[in-house]
Amino acid sequence: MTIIVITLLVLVTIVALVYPFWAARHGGVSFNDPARDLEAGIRRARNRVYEEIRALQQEYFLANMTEAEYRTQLQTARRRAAELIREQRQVRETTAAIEDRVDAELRDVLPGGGSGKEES
Amino acid sequence: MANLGTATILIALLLAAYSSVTSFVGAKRHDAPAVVSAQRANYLVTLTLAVSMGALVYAFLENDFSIRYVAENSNLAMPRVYTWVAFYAGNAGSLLYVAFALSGMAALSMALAHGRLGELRPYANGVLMLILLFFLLVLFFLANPFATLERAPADGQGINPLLTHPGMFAQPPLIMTGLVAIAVPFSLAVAALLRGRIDDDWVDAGRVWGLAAWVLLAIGLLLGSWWAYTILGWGGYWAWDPVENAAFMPWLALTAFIHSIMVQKRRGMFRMWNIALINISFTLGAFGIFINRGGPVPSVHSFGASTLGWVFLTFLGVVTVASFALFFYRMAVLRSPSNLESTLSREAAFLVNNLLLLGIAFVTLWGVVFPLISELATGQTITVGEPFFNTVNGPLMLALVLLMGIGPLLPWRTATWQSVRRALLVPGVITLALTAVVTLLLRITLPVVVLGIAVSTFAGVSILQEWVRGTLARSRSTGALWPAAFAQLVASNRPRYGGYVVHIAVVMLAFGIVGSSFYSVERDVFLTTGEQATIGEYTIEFVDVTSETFADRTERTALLAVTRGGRSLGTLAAWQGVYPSFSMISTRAGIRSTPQEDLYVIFSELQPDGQTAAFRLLVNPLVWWMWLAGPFVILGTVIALWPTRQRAAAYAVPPSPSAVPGAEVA
Repeated sequence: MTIIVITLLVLVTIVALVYPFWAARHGGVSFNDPARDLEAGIRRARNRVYEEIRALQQEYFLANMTEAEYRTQLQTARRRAAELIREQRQVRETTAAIEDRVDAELRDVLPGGGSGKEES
Repeated sequence: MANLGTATILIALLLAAYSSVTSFVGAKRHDAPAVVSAQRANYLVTLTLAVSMGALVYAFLENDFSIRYVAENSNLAMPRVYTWVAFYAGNAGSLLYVAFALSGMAALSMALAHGRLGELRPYANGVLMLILLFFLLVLFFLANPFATLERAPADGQGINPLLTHPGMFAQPPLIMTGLVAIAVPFSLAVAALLRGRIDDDWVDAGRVWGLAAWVLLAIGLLLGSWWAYTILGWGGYWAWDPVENAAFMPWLALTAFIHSIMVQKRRGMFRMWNIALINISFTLGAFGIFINRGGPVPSVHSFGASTLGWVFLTFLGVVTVASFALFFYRMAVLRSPSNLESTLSREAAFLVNNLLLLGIAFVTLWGVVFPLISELATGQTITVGEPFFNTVNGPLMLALVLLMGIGPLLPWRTATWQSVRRALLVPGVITLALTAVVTLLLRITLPVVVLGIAVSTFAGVSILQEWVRGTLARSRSTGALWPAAFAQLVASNRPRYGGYVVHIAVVMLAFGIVGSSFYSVERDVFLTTGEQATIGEYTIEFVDVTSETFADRTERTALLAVTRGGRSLGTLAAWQGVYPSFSMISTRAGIRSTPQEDLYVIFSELQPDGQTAAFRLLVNPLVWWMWLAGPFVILGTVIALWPTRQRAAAYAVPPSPSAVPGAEVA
């Protein structure tokens, strides 16, 4: 019983730990995507700003702040949200431009092209 | 089972080491397969330790006394239901439980953080696995619960009688889990420091896990008080015992953290302060484990004698030095983008709240370490008693409750004295009126009690005012009926209104503490069956005593009839168990609990004639409210932690930045 359980555990462990390296080497799974990470970071920051705006509206709704205070703080938060949206758009546009350039260069280098877009 | 248990601990140890090293290397080199592999190793540690836990439970159920730990903490006469309690009755078992709880939380936190923490995740995983590695090393080399005896005894030594209490099924695991759960927000903060880019990415997960650890400790502390109240036979619930304090101190620091992190979430402030707070919380948690498992000071809550003090002290030292060294190293990048604008603001109230909480924590810490310091310095142990803690911490706690009433009424950023006066007027007037009525009706003469009632009432009224104001405003604006408007109000800002529910629980606790501390009545009596005694308005008649003998104990139950003003209130059963092998008499009080007061009877001693017994009778006002606070703490935390649904629009990228209101201003 002990031997069976331990053997099973060791086998599962080896497979689970080695598979990511194997998959990366054989191209089955793509792990690194800095652009995606960057965009996710911006999205998180945007959600925080939206949450702040929600809280601000509630404070105002409960009459815990004056009209002037509310307007000033809301304007600041909205500016920040707009900045983040602009950043997010830039990341997307830059990523798309880089991908297009890579596709174009691959088309020049490889006889059959290498674009994922063409294949799809 | 012994081999399986030891082998799984070894596998878990190797996995934790692999996961930690691979996480840090993977994060540093941006090697995604390494990071994924390390993450999987984290999950596998939990699986492996679950097998290890199962092996020990099975050994207990099978009465496998060839395993030393099973022989030392159970016997054939032990009711099967206490197997789970026996599991952590000693050091080795509780360390296995701690390792399992930590691995479970590490796996869960990292799984939930997928896609939310970005580059922080592998660093946090590495830190968590490093902490887990420490516990696994101790388990494998110094406190293996699967160590075997050369010759298995026919029967075990049995479980400590004080542990055979319903509260013990949950209290120790909650406290242990709460203490190690602090490792999750701590690891997130350390990950942010290690990465060297301190933004607010760790704040949401840090708040959630900080709250999780906080509620586990809170419920554990309340259950521990209930256990002490019902079984220790002294009529109290809190004695500033070192083990109680060991869980109380990190809870205080965490309370400061979960308030302060809201300021960072809301205003991007207190970045440095929050990292310092979570470092302090974890350090105090490590200190708690040192007190609990290292056994440096005697305590009514210590059950496993230990020689591991130096190990946990070393861990405490390394954690403290390393975390604060990293903190100071990164200090330059920790500065917040905005500063405190006014001392009359909610942020300032949070800061004062933090300082008071830390003040109480450090006073308590001083009381705990003073006996150790005095022993080192003079060779004599000078114990710090309840009066010191009550005298110093009492006023600080009162100030904290007062601030709990003022804080929510203050706006963010800045306020004027005029607006503060206006906000405080209604709750202030109601408080004065209620306090005057209660003081006159109950003929209260002690100024400190009047102050306690006034402060607690003020905190409660200001919260109720916030609810009423919000509900009415929402009802007016949406046309919803009041109950629906109230539900909408709570749903609109769960962290805030969940927090208010917890604050109501604190008010209940405050009333309970004031009532039972200043108006408790106590009387010791000897009664022969048929005789009566009175305490307060109650008359108690000793009806009968019954005995039942088991292999390891004799149980006696005294039956008492209770009347008040000539009206029967039923019977109370006060219990005691005599355990010859432990040279111990364990009691369980007979308690008649009402919102007004507890009638509390301890069966202290039975005379040789078998008909005369010694009883301690107590009337403890308002204790009922303290136990009711527990469900409120849980409810409030669940509300605060309930995930907020993000609107789909928040994720969509609008067609052009100029279409976004405010974008043109930037």
